[in-house]
Amino acid sequence: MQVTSSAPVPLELRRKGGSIVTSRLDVWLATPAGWRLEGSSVLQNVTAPVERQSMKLAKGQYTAVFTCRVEESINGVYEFNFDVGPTPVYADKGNVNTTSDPHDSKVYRDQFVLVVS
Amino acid sequence: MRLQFTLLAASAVLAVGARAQSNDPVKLTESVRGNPQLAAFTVDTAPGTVSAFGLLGPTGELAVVENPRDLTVALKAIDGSNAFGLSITPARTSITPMSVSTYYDHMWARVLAGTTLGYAQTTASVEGAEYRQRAVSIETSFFLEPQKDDPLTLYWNALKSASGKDNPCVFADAQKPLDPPAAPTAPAASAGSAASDGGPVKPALAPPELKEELDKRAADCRKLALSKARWNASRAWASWAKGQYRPDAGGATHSMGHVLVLGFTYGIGDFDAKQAGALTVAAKRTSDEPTLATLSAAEPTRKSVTLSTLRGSYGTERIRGLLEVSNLKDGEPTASQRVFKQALGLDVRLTDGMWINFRAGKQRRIDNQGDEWGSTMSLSYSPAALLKF
Repeated sequence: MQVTSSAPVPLELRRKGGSIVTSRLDVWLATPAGWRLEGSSVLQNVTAPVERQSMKLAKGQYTAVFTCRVEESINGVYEFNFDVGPTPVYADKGNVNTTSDPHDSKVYRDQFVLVVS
Repeated sequence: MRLQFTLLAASAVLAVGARAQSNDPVKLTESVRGNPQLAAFTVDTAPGTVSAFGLLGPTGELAVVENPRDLTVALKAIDGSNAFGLSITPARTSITPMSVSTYYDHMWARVLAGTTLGYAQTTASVEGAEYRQRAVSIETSFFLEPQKDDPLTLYWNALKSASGKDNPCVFADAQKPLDPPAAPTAPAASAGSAASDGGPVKPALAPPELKEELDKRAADCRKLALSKARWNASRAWASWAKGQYRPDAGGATHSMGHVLVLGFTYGIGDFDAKQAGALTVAAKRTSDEPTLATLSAAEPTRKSVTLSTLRGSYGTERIRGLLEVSNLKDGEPTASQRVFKQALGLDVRLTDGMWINFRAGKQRRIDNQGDEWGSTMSLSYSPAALLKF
């Protein structure tokens, strides 16, 4: 998946439900010496239905790693949407409460190509 | 886990005795003068939370229903004579779920989130006669100062304000791409189902080792957050229950009366205070409760009683003293009235969640022939059980 955005790159995480949703986006640049971290955004204002941040990145092509964790809280119901600029990138919904553990959880980790123009 | 379905073994409905609960203290010693028939002597917690189970006094296995399908299965198991109990906290189920932001932003939502509806039915043998009984209840409790006391709020706030490298409440460390740097522009395909119209995709699940790491991190954060919760939380509660019974052999249905409980605790001092206290006021109104002796009568004798209690607690995380007085008046005691008139107590924490509780006080004799003094020492596995009514 490739996502194109202008700089600074706006990020938006929308949450619904009685579970807590925390996430982060790490943006990496490939260099001859290996991966170099160019920026990170941690989105864990867990009581906000909508959380927005922006990342200052130079023009170029990056690999962005999205990590997200859903944890049962008031109940296990959850829904999240993650957008980069105007592009909806990731979304999921469901019920994370699948065991008697009061803190059932689900962790996602995915990546995409981010082109900053 | 929020919606509970209880298979109940039949037990005596109006018998004098404490409810069987997992957190009930284990009595170690007991010393009394006067009437030795003191099955409920350890009850010095004054008016208790009233539920349908509490009114019927059932015991039994506790099963868990977590979604509507499980609830349907559970309800199919009911027939008129089953020992059965159901407790549902709607906001905490997937049936009518409440959102985190709603709970966090509104007091009414926290009251609603703590509201539990209960139903119970059972059969009981009282003085040789069998009775079928059923009861309904509604109860709620909530924190008056959630920013200081509510475990959910404390945890969420810890996440919201987290910073620093070694803080377990910071969600995760930076995650590197899976691809080798030589091919950074060809990331692994998402394990989710990418939408063909360019819409969002379901992100791939993390490998188990990452999930395990983040789960541990979250557990450490919860522990850190809850360490700042006050033992003397300010909270309020209310409950109401109503029941009825009829002879198993047939006959008219009679009311078991109804019970209303109101109370609040006001905590003095913050969590990091060396010493802190709590003042608790509670009242329990029992209306039209039939006496045991007339249970089988066509028109049972009924009593209505109001019990008010004032309790002061003071101490530290490890040791607390308490003084309690009630307005218990002379008269034939019932199961719900079996409390100390005046009591002194001491709670000493042995380890996390394990307490030694000592109580000494004066209560009315069960044969109503004056008062008696006594003391108990018990082992408790839940500090909360000592702080709530």
